[in-house]
Amino acid sequence: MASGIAATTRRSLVPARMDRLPWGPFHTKLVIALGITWVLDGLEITIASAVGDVLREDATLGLTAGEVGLAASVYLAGEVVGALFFGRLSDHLGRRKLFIVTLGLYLVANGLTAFSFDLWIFFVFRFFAGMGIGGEYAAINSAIDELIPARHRGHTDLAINGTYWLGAMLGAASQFVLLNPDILPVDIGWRIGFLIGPIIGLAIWGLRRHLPESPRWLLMHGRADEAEATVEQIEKDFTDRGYRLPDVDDSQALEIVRSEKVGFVEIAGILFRTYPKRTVVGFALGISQSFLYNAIFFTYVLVLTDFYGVPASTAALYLFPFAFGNLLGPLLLGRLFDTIGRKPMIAGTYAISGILLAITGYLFEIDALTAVTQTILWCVIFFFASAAASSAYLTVSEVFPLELRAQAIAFFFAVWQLVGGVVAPWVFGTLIGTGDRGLLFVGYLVGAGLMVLAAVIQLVFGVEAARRSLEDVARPLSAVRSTGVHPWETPGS
Amino acid sequence: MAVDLLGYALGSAIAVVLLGYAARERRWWSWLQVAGIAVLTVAAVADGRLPEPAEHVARVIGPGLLVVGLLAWRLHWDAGWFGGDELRPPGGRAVRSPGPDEAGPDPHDRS
Repeated sequence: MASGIAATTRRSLVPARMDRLPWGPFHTKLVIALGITWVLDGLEITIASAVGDVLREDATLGLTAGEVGLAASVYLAGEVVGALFFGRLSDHLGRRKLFIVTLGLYLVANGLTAFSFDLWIFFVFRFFAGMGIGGEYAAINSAIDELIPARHRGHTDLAINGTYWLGAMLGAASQFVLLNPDILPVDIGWRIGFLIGPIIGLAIWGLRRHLPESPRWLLMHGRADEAEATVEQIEKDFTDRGYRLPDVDDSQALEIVRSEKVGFVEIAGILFRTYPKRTVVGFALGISQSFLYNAIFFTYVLVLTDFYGVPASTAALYLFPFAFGNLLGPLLLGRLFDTIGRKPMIAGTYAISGILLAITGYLFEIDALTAVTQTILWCVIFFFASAAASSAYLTVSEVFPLELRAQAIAFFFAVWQLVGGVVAPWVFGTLIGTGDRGLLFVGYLVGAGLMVLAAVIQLVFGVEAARRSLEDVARPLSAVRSTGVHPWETPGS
Repeated sequence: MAVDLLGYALGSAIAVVLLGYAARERRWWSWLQVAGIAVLTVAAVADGRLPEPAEHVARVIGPGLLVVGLLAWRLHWDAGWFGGDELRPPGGRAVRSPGPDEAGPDPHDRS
């Protein structure tokens, strides 16, 4: 398929061959083996949040309320550090090496969390478990984008990101058994909670170790022969099952040279000078969804208990309809991101979420809702907002060159986590501290306004990446030239 | 008492399997596993005969060495870390390269 042109350049059809594959068992296995991370993260955060009160009891670790909050921050810090550290390694050493080591780190650290015997050991293991999950986000988003055919990339990515909420539902459901002292002793239940994720992860390990390295990554790192061999292996898997694969036209070939390690200065230059508009879009999409989620999740218990008289003990059950709306949105709307296109769908879901949040806030402010109608409206908002939030991850994973894909994902993930985990909670914590309807409405309007602003930014600066090869969307740094049918994006886009 | 015995039996069984594999594989992670098992064994049987800080350290270090050894072992075979790349066919399961004693006669050796 490929032939050497010169000692340092290579002509290859690897990306085009990957993109022309039909959906098959290989892709399904890939999605299950890699996509499990989002389920684990949702499970992890929900369980950790649920066991907070239990860990304050003397029979357990006897933490203070502040230490419970600090444990959540430690996990978040671990995620940020892990994403940045393993993201860099993932671009340098390969997707495969990293998506296995990060799963290993998560399994070990979370498994050991279950055996924590004091505060500091608990914090250390939570930090490393967070590092594992943060690293997974960077390595796996890159691998999925590079291994899934272009026309399936959008809805696959969205569906996988949406499964975070499946994990949240599992976590919320498990706490009714694990944290019930009538069923399990108080010092055992929380420990089993931290073992659920590693057990699921261990089950997926066997599947994951059989996944190949991304042929695109191999190609750009001077390992063209391995890239060709990997694609041949994948194609053989299809032809053995009776699939007939169409030929790939030679006009879609890439000419590449081996890429060198990309330094931090060069990465900053690519993000802020070569692709400044895409960087702005990345910030806008991620930060705005952080505010929207905080606007509701930080306030819903207070709104339900203080304004609608729902008992505090049952308010937690409302997580289930929320999670269901969040899970359903990306699954049902995802296909449209590949058919209608990224620009209209991303902008549309952001705008609809923002407008619905503003309307809901207004109806809340004039006291026109009940607990039931309020919950229904929140679920509808989440249906669109979850697809929107997932599309933010999709966007930053596909609009930058392959050589810094994982690092770009890690960079945006870190910024979003800090905004979503530090800035937005502080803003909404201040607003709800007053318990005033008018101020809560202001909070909702802030979230809504940011979502609509992000929609406008996406419409103006966004990249139409639907059904386009990754190499079309962002020229690899190692590309010499393309003879493909699609013109590459020009710098400054 | 029965639970203790069950724990010792289970731990010993796992240790025997790991030691057998380590003796066969003889890589740096094998020695970490062996060290982890050794320190854990010391901690388990000391039963107050060691100074308390030493026993406490053994209980923390032992599992740590064992876990790092086990993780490194799987990362080598499953992900190609620590020089495992050349052993792995694309997408396939890694196979151990034959050691110098296992490779059989050199076909080019005509002596």
